[in-house]
Amino acid sequence: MTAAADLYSGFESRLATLGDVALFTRIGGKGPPLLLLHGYPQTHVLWHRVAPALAAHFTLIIPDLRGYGASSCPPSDGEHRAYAKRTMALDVLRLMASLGHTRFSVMGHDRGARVAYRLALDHPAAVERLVAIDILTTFDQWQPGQQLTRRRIFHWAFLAQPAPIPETLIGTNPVDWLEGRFRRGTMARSTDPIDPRAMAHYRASLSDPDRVHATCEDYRASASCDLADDTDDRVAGRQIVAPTLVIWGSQGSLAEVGDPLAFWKPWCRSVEGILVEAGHYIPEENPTALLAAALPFLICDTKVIPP
Amino acid sequence: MSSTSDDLFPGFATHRIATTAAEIHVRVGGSGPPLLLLHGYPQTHACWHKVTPTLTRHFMCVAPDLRGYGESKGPSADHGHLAYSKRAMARDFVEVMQKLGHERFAVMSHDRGGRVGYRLALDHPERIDRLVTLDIVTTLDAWTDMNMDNAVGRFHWPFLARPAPFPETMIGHDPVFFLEYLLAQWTSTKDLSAFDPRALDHYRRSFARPEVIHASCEDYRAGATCDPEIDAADRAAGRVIACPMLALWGASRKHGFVNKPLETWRPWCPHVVGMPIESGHFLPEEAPDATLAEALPFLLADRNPV
Repeated sequence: MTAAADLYSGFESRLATLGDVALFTRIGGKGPPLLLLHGYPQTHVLWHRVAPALAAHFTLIIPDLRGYGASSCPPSDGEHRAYAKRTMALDVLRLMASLGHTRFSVMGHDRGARVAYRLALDHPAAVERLVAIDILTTFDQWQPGQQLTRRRIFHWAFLAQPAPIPETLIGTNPVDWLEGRFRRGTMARSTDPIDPRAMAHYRASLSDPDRVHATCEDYRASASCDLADDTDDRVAGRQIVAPTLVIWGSQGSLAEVGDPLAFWKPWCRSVEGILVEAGHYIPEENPTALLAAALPFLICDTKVIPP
Repeated sequence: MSSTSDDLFPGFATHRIATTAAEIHVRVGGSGPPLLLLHGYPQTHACWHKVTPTLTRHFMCVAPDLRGYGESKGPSADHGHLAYSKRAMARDFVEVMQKLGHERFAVMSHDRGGRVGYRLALDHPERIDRLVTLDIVTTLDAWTDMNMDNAVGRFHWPFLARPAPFPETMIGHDPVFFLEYLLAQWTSTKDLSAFDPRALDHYRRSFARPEVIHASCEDYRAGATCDPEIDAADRAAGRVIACPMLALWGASRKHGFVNKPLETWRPWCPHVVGMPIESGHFLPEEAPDATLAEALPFLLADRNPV
């Protein structure tokens, strides 16, 4: 990977080896621990515009998910379990434990938000507060009969195609593919809201065939085992115990969903929602509005008794 | 005209017919009442080569390439994608058949061609005496039925409908890879064994051309915009397919294009008949005999309206 700009000046960098995976992680700030989880097709760099303000209140732990950025890419398996959100949730739980944090808040965007809610469901004692940005659960996303529009359905279906179709198509055009995601997902319908230095990080990640494959596996998992895990929880009536804040962009992935909170309510003991002016890439498109929504929720000193 | 195509349609004449907005490459052979054969994506008229030896004994078979596909030249793309609407493609074939001297004709049609086939029957009821569709429901119904679950099997719909030049670029780096993947993926055996090597060669050479990739993307862009709007207007107006209609579909596709086909077709054609065929998506090549066993009696039956 070519040397890319450091967007977290003063933050510690470490490569944490946790079982079969090594997670590249930036750590900085002061206060209680807050785990920040990025999504597709991005890396930990996604949070660079909100990290300075958050670091005034929290110790930030900002990893690359397995298969993304500078974290390692464990081998995939036929069941796609290696890239299940349950597996990724265990990764970050171990990461936090290795840093001495057994209970913490977590904010996730896109795929990272799926890891975050899975963490809250699988390890309720670990999660203090949960912020999920611009998603519905995988269960709700895949419900037959759910009328998703022609525009929103494409990349889920594409990336979940059997190997090597998306790998090959992306691999021959990684920059077109990457920039296409932002042209499609931002409110500006362009790459302008993305800092060129951050874009260089994203480009480096998706220029590596191993990472292209790993990130496709992330989506194959969503079409198989993630959906199965969500369905098990739904059938069993398991709920997210941690107070939950759902944030979505006015022109983001949930713009045509109607009332996103109606989908989230059955999953959460306590959930609130805030709409912000943005497309899907809220932490980069409208960091001010994200902070205005998330900070009061995260620094709320109401402690919830662990179950 | 290619020698490969000649091999697949021995004795057929070749015409190049200018329509209002396109130049249509067409093969014509056989004798009897006229039968228009419309291929789908990502193919050409060559897809009919296994059924034409039988069909030509009963029909004057007319097998064109859709505008922009194969050797047919399509118009430039327009913002609303109307140039590749099924309505515009249907008009091509009214003109092509007229120039060949056929005012009224039967249609057998597969995939994208099937969408042109039912559009012909809705827009030009006076011209179509029988309609066979292979492995489709209407574009409107296909979108209405689409959800995250079945979208994996239909990912090419939203993919190819993305604005230019995104899918063109993604496909264009290795078009034969993409072509062969789709062909294999949609068969019941998940490989290329159903396809005659000469037909495959024909598809490869056609699909490797950037203008064919672009036109076929425009076909799907129309399929995501004006085509379902036109369908919806017909539904709202209560227009139905007047001619006898046979819907056949492949039985072996887990994530097929076709969910409850007869139920879905009935509002469009109350007298529709149909059945599954043991096949993947490519009925004329994977199951030519079974397809003919149903289609031929239907096409040959008494031509009085039901």
